[in-house]
Amino acid sequence: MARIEIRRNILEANDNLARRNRDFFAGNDVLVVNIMAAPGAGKTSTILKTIEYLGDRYAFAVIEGDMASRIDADVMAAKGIPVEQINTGNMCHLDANMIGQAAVKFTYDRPTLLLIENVGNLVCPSEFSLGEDLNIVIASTTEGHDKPYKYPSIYLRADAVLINKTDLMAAMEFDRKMFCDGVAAVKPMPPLFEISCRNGSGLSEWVEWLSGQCERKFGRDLGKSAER
Amino acid sequence: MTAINLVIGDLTSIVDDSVQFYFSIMTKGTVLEDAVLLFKRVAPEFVCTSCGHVFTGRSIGILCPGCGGKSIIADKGQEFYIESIEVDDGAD
Repeated sequence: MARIEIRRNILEANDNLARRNRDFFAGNDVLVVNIMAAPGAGKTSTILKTIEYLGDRYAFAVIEGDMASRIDADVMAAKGIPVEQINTGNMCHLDANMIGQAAVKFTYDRPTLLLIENVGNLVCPSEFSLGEDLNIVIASTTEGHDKPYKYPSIYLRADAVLINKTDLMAAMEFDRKMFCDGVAAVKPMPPLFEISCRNGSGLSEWVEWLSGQCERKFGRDLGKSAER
Repeated sequence: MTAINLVIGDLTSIVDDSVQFYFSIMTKGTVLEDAVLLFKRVAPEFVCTSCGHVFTGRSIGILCPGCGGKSIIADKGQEFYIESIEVDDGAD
């Protein structure tokens, strides 16, 4: 028997496509945010509020990932937001190939914030790069404070964490300290924003942080294009 | 006989039995039909935020066995790769 060293990542094909997406987004001045959360945490509401609060600072595009239905895409379209719906069938996450195919359908004529709503799931989405700039995990007070302990991998990838539905924090007996200790046991504490899409609290802080990330990318990219 | 050595971290959502199940379906009728999958699992490693001691464990939130400090996840536990294959080269 001969032993042949391989040492190749099994998800290499996805990683290569994610890299291609990243180049495409960089070339078109697009900041890409991959939003991951459990079903019902408020991903769609957060996207809507984020766009509402950012106003006309950037162009927007949204990719909706769901196993089935166009419910979320219809909500976006009704507000005039450019949107592509991906139905994954039985797949529990989005991958780089799906994003690559959806991303080329938008027109990018000025700096754009592309918000990707991943399939509601705290497991698989964390393992598939999409070519994103930022990974955001939204927790909600209704799902409980123990999720970082039960699903550490998704928090490991979080560049920022949002706790949504803070208007229900007391009623849900959400233990903020236990939640934060859980995130801090996974990685150095990322920026944390406590928001309520219902009453608007905390949204300004979240949106300003996100806007800062946009300025950093667009500033650099715009500077680069000015050199040409 | 061909053997494929896979390395899978315990922080991934990859289950050995599932990989074996799909591998068997996909390789039926191919040269890999009789190949054996060998799984090496990698336990997550944690690093103490106080003293830097690195240790393995099963879940997050465990305190450093050295100084009792808080820990965060280190690098290991997220692997999912083919380490090597073993093929019959007719040598023996």
